[in-house]
Amino acid sequence: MKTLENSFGRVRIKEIIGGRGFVCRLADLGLAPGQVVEVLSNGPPVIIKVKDTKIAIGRGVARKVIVENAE
Amino acid sequence: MQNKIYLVAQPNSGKTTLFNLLAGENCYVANWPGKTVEVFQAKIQHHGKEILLVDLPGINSFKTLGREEELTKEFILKEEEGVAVIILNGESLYRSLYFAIQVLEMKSRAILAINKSDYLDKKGVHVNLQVLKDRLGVEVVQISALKGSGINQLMDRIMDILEGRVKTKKLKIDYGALEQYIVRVEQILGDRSLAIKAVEGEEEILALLTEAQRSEVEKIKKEISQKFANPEEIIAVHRYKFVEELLSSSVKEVRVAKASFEERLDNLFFSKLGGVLSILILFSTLFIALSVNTGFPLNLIMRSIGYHAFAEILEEYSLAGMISMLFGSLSHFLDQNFPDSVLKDLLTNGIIAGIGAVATFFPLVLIINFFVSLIEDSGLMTRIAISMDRFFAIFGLTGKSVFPFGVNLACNVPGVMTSRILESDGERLRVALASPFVICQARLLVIILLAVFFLTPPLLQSGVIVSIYLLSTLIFLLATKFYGKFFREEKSELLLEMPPYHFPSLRIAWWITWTRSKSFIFKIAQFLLFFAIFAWLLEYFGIAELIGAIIARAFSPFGLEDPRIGFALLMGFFAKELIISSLAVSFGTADLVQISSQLSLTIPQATALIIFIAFYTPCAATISAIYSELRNYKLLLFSIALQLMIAYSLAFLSFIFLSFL
Ligand SMILES: Nc1nc2c(ncn2[C@@H]2O[C@H](COP(=O)(O)OP(=O)(O)O)[C@@H](O)[C@H]2O)c(=O)[nH]1
Ligand SMILES: [Mg+2]
Repeated sequence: MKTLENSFGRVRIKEIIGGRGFVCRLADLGLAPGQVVEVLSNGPPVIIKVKDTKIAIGRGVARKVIVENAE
Repeated sequence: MQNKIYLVAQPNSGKTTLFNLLAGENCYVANWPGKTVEVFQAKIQHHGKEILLVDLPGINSFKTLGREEELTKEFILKEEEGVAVIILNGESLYRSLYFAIQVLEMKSRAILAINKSDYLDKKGVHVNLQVLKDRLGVEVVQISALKGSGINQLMDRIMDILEGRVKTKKLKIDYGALEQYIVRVEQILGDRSLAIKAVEGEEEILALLTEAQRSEVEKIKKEISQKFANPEEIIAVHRYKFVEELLSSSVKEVRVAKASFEERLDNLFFSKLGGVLSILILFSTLFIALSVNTGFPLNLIMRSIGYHAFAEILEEYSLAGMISMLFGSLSHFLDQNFPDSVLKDLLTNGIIAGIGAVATFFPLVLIINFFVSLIEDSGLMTRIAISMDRFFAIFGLTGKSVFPFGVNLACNVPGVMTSRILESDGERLRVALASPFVICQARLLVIILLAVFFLTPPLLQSGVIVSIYLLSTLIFLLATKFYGKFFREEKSELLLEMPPYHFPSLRIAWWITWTRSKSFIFKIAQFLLFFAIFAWLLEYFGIAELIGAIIARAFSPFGLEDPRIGFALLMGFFAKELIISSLAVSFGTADLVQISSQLSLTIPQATALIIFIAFYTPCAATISAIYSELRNYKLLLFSIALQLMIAYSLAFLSFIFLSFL
């Protein structure tokens, strides 16, 4: 399965696995289904670029964000 | 009616900068009932009208469960009269707007301030304020808190709202397929924003309802969950869609070349070398901070290369040197000019000693806070945290823990305080509780002195000190993991936004430093004074000697039953430096060579003693600092017991081990 942990470059978020609080917390950082993000480094921690901001997320979090190729 | 405005923003938006600009010197820290979070308030004037300005803690989201988020959320929900000033971060408009619209859904009395307009200008970003205003239904102004532009206009618009000259309304966002359910919940609750929160699954909302209302709402929620797996995700997606449309119709960007230096620096931090670079930055900062404060370790270096005079100047004119000189001469003055009495003794040896201890900590707390806020402000903190994350993750910590750890190497008191930068409550308290295991500078000096005079072979001296450091680091890390058992979440995961690099503003850094340090020192001062008077009572009534004898008995397995050592260890519980001075007093000489020959300790005995001193409870000030963070007597006492137990066991093991050699 392709997640933020094991992909690189531009990807689209398909699904976020986790409880309500977790999903909303990520959404607040710009990580929501349908969003296109850019993975800059697989780390750990994983570094991604969401719109105009860079964000660092731990492996455990990255593993729960399922993605697909952007184009 | 009082005019009240409150600042709401995500971290790094420039909230502190704006608050400082508006409040100037009129600010005070409010203690909120039942909360350990500090809230700044100030009374300000605008065109002769008085306004109460409240600075709510910066929060990333309305969903996380930290104490700061709770306070801010509760405030926003309850506040009716005041105007919410929502500060948007010009560096990340997209995320800021996503945050802002959630506040606007709850509040009609609000205004948006797009901050960092200087940055936007430089980047060639143009924001059409009229479009935003029309879509959002509230006033929007553009400001630069740093440069001070747009502030008057912001205050004018705020007065318009406060005095009822403009009408604002709550924001309504369309949630598509969920709309029909939201409308139904709204009919029950009478408020759309509460209805949305209920559909999002916020339990606190449900707790506010009557039994009948709750069962109605639960029924609707069940219907929703039958149709949609993740309703909160649908809500998030709609909000993002809303923000995207908003931005595409209001923001025009003239593309400017990327700052390639930043990119390259970032790539360095994220590479294998990142850890080395981070440690280099941390240790050089620590080195400078310490040298300013006590002259140490720069004085040792100067001495070793032959600059004795320079080393002495360093020691004498360091901050700590000057303060202890001041308090020393104060007690001396009292001692000389007043007749002997219990009161004089209490004053000179109890109270002044206690206040003196607080005063000697203050410069270090200030200096360290200053450096921490500079590192935080420059954007370096997140990079350092990221590069250290891989290592700290082994122990269930985030890379940010490297900061409290590093500060602890200087002194546990500001070290405990620095644990506040950690995002989750669990991690913060775990690190605070484990802090005493990190060997601080004061303990290092005592250990070095004892090692030099009590352990003759030089190889053994350095061997013992190095192993103490390695061991203490390991025990600190393991202890943070162990203390995890007492808190809700055992593992903390990194989730950090990276601000762009920039040159920190000294004015702001100093202001943050000053306010943070002041309130912290006052908090621990009361405990320290209590400990100082307590120690004085023990000594004055001869109880200390008794306890010393009991402690010495505990060390009889090592053949260390000398009550003078027991007494020194008891004093060391209050402050480590007291070990040397109380040895000097009870042996009647300050010469450690003589003390050492009188005691004539064997190598295993001396090593066991040094190891015990290195690991047991560092000082009363650290205990006070931990208590002021933790507010839990039981856990605090438990942690002290653990420190004593670990110190004793390590001393015992090293004694056995060396005796066999
Ligand atoms: N360029 C620019 N930077 C700003 C402005 N206001 C604040 N900053 C910077 O943004 C960073 C975060 O500011 P701070 O006030 O600490 O934000 P807070 O976390 O919201 O309290 C600091 O480095 C400030 O110097 C501004 O108007 N323009
Ligand atoms: Mg701030």
